[in-house]
Amino acid sequence: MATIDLIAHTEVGPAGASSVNFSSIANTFDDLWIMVTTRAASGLPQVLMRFNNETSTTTYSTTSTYGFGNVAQSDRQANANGVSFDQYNMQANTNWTSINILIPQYKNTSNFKQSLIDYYSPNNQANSSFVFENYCGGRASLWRNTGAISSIQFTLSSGSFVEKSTFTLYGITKA
Amino acid sequence: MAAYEAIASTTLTTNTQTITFSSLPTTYKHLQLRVYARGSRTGSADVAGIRFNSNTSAVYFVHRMSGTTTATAQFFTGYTYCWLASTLASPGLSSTVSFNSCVADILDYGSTNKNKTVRAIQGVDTNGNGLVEYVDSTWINNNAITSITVFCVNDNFVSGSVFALYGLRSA
Repeated sequence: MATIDLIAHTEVGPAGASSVNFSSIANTFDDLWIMVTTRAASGLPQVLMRFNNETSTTTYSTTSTYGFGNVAQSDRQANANGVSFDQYNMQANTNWTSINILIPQYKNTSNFKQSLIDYYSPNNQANSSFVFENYCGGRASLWRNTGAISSIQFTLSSGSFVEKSTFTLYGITKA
Repeated sequence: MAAYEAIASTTLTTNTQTITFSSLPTTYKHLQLRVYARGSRTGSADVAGIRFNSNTSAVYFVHRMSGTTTATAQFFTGYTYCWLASTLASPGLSSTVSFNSCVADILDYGSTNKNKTVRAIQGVDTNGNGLVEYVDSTWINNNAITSITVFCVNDNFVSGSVFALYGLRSA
């Protein structure tokens, strides 16, 4: 087995997609690593990541630090219904949000699951809320569930992922 | 030949303060350390540090940008170790049992004419507490790195913590 193995890859087709699902994830790796490039069909919806189709409003939480324009901020979201990512690239924009997600020890059945996220949402287009502001940051998230992660779902808070959005799942194996 | 290979790993079965990767191979260009860890400290969070070649002199400096509910940037000189995590989850941070996740890149570790840098992203969330940070450190030393010591600064890493070292080839 290689150190990094491709598990699955999804590229959204011309019709768009309201969700992307990685199911039946093998328990043969140590960590999971996901790379996402995406853009919403309209508006500025958040990308939501959930595990094992768990949509409870009490099991996810996130601490974030991020910068946009010349501003640096941080915040914390407790008791949420998913791990969320802001994306401020707009419908008519040709830029894509890039998200890099590490999920260590995903098959551990003793501990809650952490995610470590690094992401960048470029924006070179003005609207009433955001003017030429790129958006980048990191997130640490917790899923308060000790079950092994066997599936991962990506959705938007509204609308659909556009064509050519890509979601790639890798497995990492330690020595 | 793979460009990214697993070199060594340690999964703790008892609480342990120090983990050392020694006799590092010289066949890679860069190293990557992936850490999944929690501390046993009560009263407050702990700190995870990293040293090279057992050098405990004050020849490290650290720059970090972090976020809790506010964003912070700090710079420290004269440290005796590099930081992997300024806030390591422990009973002193939260009763919610969470582990820090950290990915640290150690570039050109075999060079004998460069000070060594560690670039890391790490974080933990406890549903009401936590931190995410980008932490960059420098070891002011031109020697090739032959050993890496990861340690819990005040107490121990708990059982179940995982430390995995990877190598990246350039040719």
